[in-house]
Amino acid sequence: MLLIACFGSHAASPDSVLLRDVEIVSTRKSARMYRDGSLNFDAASLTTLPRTLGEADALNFIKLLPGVTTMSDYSAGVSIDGMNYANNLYLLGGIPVHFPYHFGGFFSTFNPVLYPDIKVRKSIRRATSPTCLGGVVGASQPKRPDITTHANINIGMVASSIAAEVPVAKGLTISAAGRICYLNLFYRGLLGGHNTTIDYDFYDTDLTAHWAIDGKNTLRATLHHNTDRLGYHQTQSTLLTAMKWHNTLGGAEWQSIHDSYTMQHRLYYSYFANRLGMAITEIGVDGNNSFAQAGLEGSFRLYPAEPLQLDLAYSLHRYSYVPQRVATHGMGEGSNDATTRQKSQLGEIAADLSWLHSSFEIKGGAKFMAYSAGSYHSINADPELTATYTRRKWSLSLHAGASSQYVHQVGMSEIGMASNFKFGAGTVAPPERSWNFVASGTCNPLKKLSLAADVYYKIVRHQPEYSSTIVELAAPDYNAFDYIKTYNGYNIGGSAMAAFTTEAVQAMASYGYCVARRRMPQSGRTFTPSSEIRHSLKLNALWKISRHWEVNGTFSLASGRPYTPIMAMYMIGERVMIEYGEYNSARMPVYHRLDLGGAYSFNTKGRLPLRHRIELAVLNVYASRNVELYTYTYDIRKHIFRRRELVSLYSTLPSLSYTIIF
Amino acid sequence: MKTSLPATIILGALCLAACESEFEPLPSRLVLEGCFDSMGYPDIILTRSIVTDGTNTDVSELLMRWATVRISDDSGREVILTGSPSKRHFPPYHYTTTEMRGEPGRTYTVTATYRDLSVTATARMPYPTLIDSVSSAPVSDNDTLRALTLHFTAPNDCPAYYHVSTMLHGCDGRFLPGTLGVVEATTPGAAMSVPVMRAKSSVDTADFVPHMPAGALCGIKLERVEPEIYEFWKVFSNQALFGSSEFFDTSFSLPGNVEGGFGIWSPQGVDIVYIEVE
Repeated sequence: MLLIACFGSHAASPDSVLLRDVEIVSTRKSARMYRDGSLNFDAASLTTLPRTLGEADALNFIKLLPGVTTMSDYSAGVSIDGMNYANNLYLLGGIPVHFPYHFGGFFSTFNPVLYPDIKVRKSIRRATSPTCLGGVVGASQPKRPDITTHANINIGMVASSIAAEVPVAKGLTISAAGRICYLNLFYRGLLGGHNTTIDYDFYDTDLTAHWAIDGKNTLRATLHHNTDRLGYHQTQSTLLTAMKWHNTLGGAEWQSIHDSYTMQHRLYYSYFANRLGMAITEIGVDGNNSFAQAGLEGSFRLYPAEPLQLDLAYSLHRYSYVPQRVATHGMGEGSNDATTRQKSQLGEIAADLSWLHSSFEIKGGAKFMAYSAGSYHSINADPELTATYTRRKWSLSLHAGASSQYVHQVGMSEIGMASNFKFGAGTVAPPERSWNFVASGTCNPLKKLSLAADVYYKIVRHQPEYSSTIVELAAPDYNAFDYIKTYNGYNIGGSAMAAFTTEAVQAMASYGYCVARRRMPQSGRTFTPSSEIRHSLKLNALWKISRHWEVNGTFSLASGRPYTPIMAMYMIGERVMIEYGEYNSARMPVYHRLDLGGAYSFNTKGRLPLRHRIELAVLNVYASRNVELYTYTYDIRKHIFRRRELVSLYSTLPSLSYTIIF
Repeated sequence: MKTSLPATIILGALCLAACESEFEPLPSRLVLEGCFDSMGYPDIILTRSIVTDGTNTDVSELLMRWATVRISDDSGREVILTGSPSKRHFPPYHYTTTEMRGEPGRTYTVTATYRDLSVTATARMPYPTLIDSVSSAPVSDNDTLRALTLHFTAPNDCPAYYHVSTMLHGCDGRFLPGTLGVVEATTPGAAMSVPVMRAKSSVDTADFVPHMPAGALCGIKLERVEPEIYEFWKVFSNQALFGSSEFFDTSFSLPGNVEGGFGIWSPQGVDIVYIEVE
């Protein structure tokens, strides 16, 4: 978690100073690519993407990036460079968010108006960067708040939101936002199936304060809360699956900028909890999990001598979690006490030294970590080294480094639902570790055209997987840790991206390739992790036809995700039973989807000048039947057994939204 | 040339994305579902598995009418079972005999052969545990259904493993595996309870109702089984209830004890009660 403070991309934050020399593709476009493969974009002005159910969402945009993939239309998470969903770190104003998605990954908990600055870091990271094996996705507020009152009201068919920023005193600005979902109103029928009904709603709220004390010191405060409720009823089996999850987080940050150094310190708390219930009328199983994290962290940037730059960082984190507490009802057993609240703590110090000479830049550093969880202790060091050669139109970076992750996440859901539980490293699952070797390059052959590419090789150690049946949860002595094993393996791949930008057109194409393997500890057999999407191609374009009209579209094409194939089917006890093959040894059919959108904007004058935007979006325009699951059923009327393909939850999905900005 | 570039990119990527390895489904094997109650007679349904190549399969293709099914015990005695159509079973054909009764403590081996297909399974029949009582409770928001719970006392030779089967008179042709009807007793003398819920059948056209209707005649069978048979029914419950879930991974194969094929051979110590649901 080191140097989260640097990640906010504020004007005078340490990272921003460092990035002064990076390639900026266009000062007017909303997205910027950096030499290390990271990307920065403005979520508030993000119009290149058709809206999802009327909502503009930053985390949907990152799915367009090369090397970023999802396993399903309703995955709550992304895989970055082939790593698991659980290997990513999401930060809101620098504070970790443990589950930043609403149901099905349709959109995130990040408010794009309040937190417009989005930064995505992939495999190249500095020693002072946050600790995780995958990508780091951060959403933060603008560098300086607006000095006038302004607001954004969005009315959609699924949810409506309001965000406002008000300068209340000299240097002090308060921002607040709220959103409420009423998905049941219009989309319940579309999301439900023949024998299924879905009830879903959520709300999220944000409150921030920005106080520029003087020209050098700034204080920020961040508060966020969201709650989601989901009910999924399978009428034929009378099985009711209910989930309720929430994030609550808050923190305060002090930033101080001086001629010879800058520093930033943050104190924060982040809590996530999920309640999962599965019931057949009177009989059911409840599995609750929660994860609380508190921390103090800070960073310093010093300039000891030209051309040296020294970054130092420290952090202390305290974790408190209940991995999976199971209770049964109607089954003659009470709750089991095998899983209790557990605690662990992590301390980190890190240093990075940068040396810049002409076209060469060398960055090197190391992070030292001390971790304890009960009787388990670990001391670790992650070194890193990056060399960059820059010419006027192109640059090449070579990076080698190690990353560690002390918070694991596993569960029964491969699409990353909130029921997947987090826990601290320990004897059962030591800290995850990866060695990363990356070559990354950028090129600007034309003023309007930017190219970027990277190749990577990652050696992965101690990646946990969980394998329990749902019925097992009802056992009186159930203990989640009995079903966790760790695996070693590697990811190898690369990606390329081209961006074309003019005043009227913004277009982006990205391609990613990844091969990932994990080895089973006892049998030694290898398997493909679910996160490996071998090929992925994404095309996105925005055309501003006139001052009022614009259209956009996104086309996605990808290899099918790995799945465990059905090798045979038979009947036992008048039930269709399935014999599965080796884990993830087959692939779903090729995935493809086209989304289109259009918007009409206009201004009205009067006492309060308003900007209006009406947006129509159609997801999955040609109703591509992307397969999510294969199963076999018995057709009672025809007396035949047949294969059934469960396709994406939605076929063609239109939405309309109306936004007022003042 | 300019317009063909995007098409070339998409086509090329489509080819790359489509170049994925396919899996070979397993050839058809024999499937044996056999129970042998203490003091009862063996009852075996022999079918074959369906090749999952995406084609439809008629249920009549599953039946194994001309197989040879033998059961032998650990004393060396062997009997051949007779196959006959049965409306009580699905698929409607079973093999049985009255020449051998189940004796707790004995080990039984079943062998079934059909053409070049053959399966065999061996398991010991544990001693039965008596049912203490069956309690009934109303189901919320429903006046006509009752939630039943079976009570028994854990035996001295724990651990002991149990499976519950039910038969609703007029609806079920035979005892079927009760939903979530597995329980493990670890403490001798402990008071045990397990929910009694109807089987979730794939051949029932009505929506699944796990509870018993008030006034119905219901048979409940407490089967004490060997650990591997208990494991089988546990995973069976998982597949029956949660199989094909969009949310959770349920790709767990059944750990049967039948060599050369699929299914379960369950010599079991049983206690049966018939009750009128109050």
